[in-house]
Formats: sequence, structure tokens, C-alpha cells
Amino acid sequence: MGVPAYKALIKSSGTPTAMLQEPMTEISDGVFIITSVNKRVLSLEHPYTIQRSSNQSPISPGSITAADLISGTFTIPDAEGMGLEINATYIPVSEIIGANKYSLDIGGDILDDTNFLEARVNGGFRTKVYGIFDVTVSIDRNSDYGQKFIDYKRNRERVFIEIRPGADTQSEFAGVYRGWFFAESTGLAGDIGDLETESIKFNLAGSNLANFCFVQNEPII
Amino acid sequence: MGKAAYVKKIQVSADGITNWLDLPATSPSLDIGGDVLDDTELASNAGYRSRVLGLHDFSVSADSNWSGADAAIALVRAAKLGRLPLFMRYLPDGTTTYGLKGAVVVESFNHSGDVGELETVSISLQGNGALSAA
Repeated sequence: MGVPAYKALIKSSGTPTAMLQEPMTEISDGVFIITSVNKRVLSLEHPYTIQRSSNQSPISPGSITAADLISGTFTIPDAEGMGLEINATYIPVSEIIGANKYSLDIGGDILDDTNFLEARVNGGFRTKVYGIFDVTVSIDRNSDYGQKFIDYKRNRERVFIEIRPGADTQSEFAGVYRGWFFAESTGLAGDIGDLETESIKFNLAGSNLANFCFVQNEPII
Repeated sequence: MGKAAYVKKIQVSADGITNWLDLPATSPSLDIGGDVLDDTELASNAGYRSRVLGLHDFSVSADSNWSGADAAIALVRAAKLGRLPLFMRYLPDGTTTYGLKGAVVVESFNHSGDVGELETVSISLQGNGALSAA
């Protein structure tokens, strides 16, 4: 059954905001998530420290075996069963004003690794492996004259994009796409008898800190 | 006599053997192509080109209506993001009688929505090995 697109939530990042002693919740053995769903996206440009909530003694960075700065999830096996809190800078996200159309393209390179041996065995068909991934997002919106995305482009800043298709509430089955992007292009246009519109195209700004993810059934505590 | 396309099924599976899931596709297609090698030579032609078939290749495109609970869409997305094995089955009459199947890689997974339309996913798959009878 189809889902109407008008329910989609398209959000972008706001001003990085410091948070201190923000509670974390253990969602599985040694895996902790920032409790507040609105504070899970962390700034890539600011440091963070995780500490015991009982006495604020810090967790050593070496104890953190995995850190997902997009979903606010950390794996700390040595801290299993402990109460933890985090000092960090989070990225508030808010709906893109006037957005009325979007597309999210998860693509990348497909590499042809066809060789004599396998082609003889499979009857002469090409074989392939995945190469580097890439993600592009395009968003059309009715302009409010604001230059938020023009400024991101001009200032060469990364912008965080969150897309939750088909849901206007954080329902269980509404998975969410998240990632850091650069605004490749933004254009303003408007016919004399029409609305002023803005079309923005984003390219993934991958890094070893955070790339892109899809989260299904995001735990909301 | 023509055959109606509405009975068609596009299915995906993680192992190509069990648990085939129907994609909620609206306009799927299967393209079987590959290389055609020109072996025309002076010694043996009557003024016409001659050719032999080289490597085969196939691709599948499936524009689909999106649903957050759809297992087939979730499987394709997981295969793309996780670089996991994926198999597809193209069944023109909805049964395996005339069907074709093969291992694939997900070339692109394109999710889009216009405020006045449905949420849609456009999936393109590239063959990864032989295409055989379903």
C-alpha cells in the first residue's frame, strides 16, 4: 500500500549547542545511547567526554570501541551496567521551511571484476563487486527569502540532513536517513506569476567520524 | 495474444533459495544485454559484418511504492548499505514457469517524495553472475 509523501519530515542542522551531563541509556550490553532523542546528533568539530553519572569520573577514550556520532550511540563494553552521561556539543535539527519535494539517492561505484575462470563457470556472465558509495540529496522548497543554504555553500560548511519518509511523528516503523553533506549547488528562481523557489543539491561529506546511516526502529526512550 | 503485466512479480532474497519477498514495484523491467564483438574480416565475408557474442550482462530496474514496513525494500536497502549478497527473481506471469533469477548488486537506491504524491523508491540492480531459469 502506498504512503503519501506529504508526511515526510525533512530536517537540517541548526546552531551547535553545548550540553553537559546529558544522561545516556544502556540499550543493550555495553551499548549506550544519548537519552534525549533531540540531542543524538553530535558535532564533528567539537570534542566529547563520557563520564560516570555517579561521580563524573571520565571514561577513557580507549574504552569506547565504537562511536556513532550521527545516532549518538557508543559501545563501551567495560561500562556495562553503569550509569553514564556525556558532555558534548549536539546539533539541533529542525524542519526545512517550505520544503515540498525531495530525493535521496544512495549510489556509488559498481566495479566489474569479471575474470576468465568465473565467466567460464557461470556461462559467460559479468560479475561485479561494490566500490565506493556516494549519496546525494536534492530538496526543493518554497523560498522564505532566508539564505541558510546559500550561507552553508558560501562558508563551505557541512550541513546535517535528516529525512524521515512517510511519518509526521516518530513512529516505530518510520526509519530515518541521516548524514553530513555539502551543498553542491543552490538556485533561486521565480516566474513573475509564481512563487519564489529554491532548489538545493547536496553531496555526501564523508569522513572517518561519520558518514551516512539509515536507522530503523530508532529507540525512543 | 498479449499478456497483461499486472500479474508480474519482482522478488528479492538474501540467499536466492528461501524467503523470496515481493517488491511493491509499479514499473519493473529486466534488461538482458552484454557485449557483441565484431569479428568481421576480409577473408570470410560477403560484404556484411559478422559478430560473435561476448560476455552477457543483465540489469533490473524497479520503481516501487515505499512503505516503512515493507520487508523487500528493507532487504534491498540493507544489501546496499551493508554490501550484502542479494538475489532477484523476475516472474512475468507471477509464477516461476517463465521466471528468471540471478545474483545482483544494488547500483542505486533512490528515495523520493513530492508533497502531493506518494513516497517512492527507485531501485536499480546490476547482475552479478549468471541469469538462469527461476
